[in-house]
Amino acid sequence: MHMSRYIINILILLTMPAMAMANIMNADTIHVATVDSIASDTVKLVQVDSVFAINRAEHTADTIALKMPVYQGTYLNLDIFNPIATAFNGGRFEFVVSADVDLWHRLFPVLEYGMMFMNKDYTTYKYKTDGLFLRVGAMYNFLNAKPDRKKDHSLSVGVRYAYSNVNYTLSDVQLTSPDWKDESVTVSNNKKVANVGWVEFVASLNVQIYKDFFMGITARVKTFSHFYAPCLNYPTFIPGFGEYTDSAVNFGFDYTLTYRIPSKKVKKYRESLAQ
Amino acid sequence: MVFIGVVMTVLVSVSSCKKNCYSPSRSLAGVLFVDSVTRKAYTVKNLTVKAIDNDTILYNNVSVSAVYLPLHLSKNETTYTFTIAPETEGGSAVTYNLTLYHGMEPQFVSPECGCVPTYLLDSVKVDNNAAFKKMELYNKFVQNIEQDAHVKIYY
Repeated sequence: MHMSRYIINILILLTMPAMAMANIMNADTIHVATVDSIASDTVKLVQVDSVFAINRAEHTADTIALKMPVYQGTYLNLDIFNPIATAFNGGRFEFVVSADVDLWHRLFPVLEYGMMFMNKDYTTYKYKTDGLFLRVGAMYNFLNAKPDRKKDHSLSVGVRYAYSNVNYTLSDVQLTSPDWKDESVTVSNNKKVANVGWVEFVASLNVQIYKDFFMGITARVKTFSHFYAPCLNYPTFIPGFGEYTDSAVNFGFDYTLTYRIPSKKVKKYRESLAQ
Repeated sequence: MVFIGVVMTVLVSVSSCKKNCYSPSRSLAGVLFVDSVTRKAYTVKNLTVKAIDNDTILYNNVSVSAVYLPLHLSKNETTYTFTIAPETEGGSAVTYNLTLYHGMEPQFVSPECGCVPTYLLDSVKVDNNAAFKKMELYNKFVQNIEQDAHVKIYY
């Protein structure tokens, strides 16, 4: 008798982590039953297990009946950081709009579009450039994807492939040779076009401010830049990428305002959860 | 408000950074000496390189496996005299003129560095082919990249 009681106690100890896991995964009713079962006499274990099984079955049935939709809305984003930064970056105006689709509130395929304009007159040269860029990729959200979540914040990381088409003109350039005595020229380049690609690694925090309105910050590491065709004169500023230098890596920062086009199915699902 | 504070801090930090120019300010044509058998770098001893137009000595009696040469801004060709002095007494020096034919276009490097000339090499010629085994125009883009290779001379 003592032996069997001893074995049952060991079994309880062994199943505690699994019960704890069930507690996290399942409804509150199961949590109460589980705690009670540990505290009570071991003879009641079979009873508790049956309750546990029933609750689980009910929960599974609910989940099947009210399955959370995969598509949970479309987010339209406007970056306001780069337009403001025009005042600080030497007159390079850039803006980005983007759209991402919420799937399971975990995966967010993203499409971004932007443009850049710059027209600078320096003492010894004039530089004019403009162009567009496209980025395509996806984000993975680590926060709060449970169906019964109260807020739709997200903390996500992701990757993009970016493409840019850029036009640039350099004119009235005064050059003086350091090697040949008294040799100086004033020259201009014709308008040139370049196609550039690169890869971005992105981290983003989006906070739900009010209903379907969000604010977010995004940090970008831009690398693996490559020209689609070799060129003698490369563009100094690449839309979406920033200044093209010897450095292999560029950094970017966005501050976005977001409106979500909500999914009707999600709304219905949440209403059914609330009932 | 916290977000706006973060944004303003980043903006002020970025704008207060005073940048310096770290890019090379010259575009030099690299001539590499290569061993025709091993295809590895070949060291030419007692080499003197002189620019013809202004008699500037660019390299004076050095042992090197590569030389980096300035190009004219306003002309489409630049000629240099290569002289290899004999290693032993009584030997004779080897001399040849090497001409690079090129076009020039300016490159905007950055607001800090300004503009530098870049060149597109059309061809390269020498007046004494017996001085080495073979010559090859390897890379026609002469940009402000340090120690870039453009012409290979095989010994």
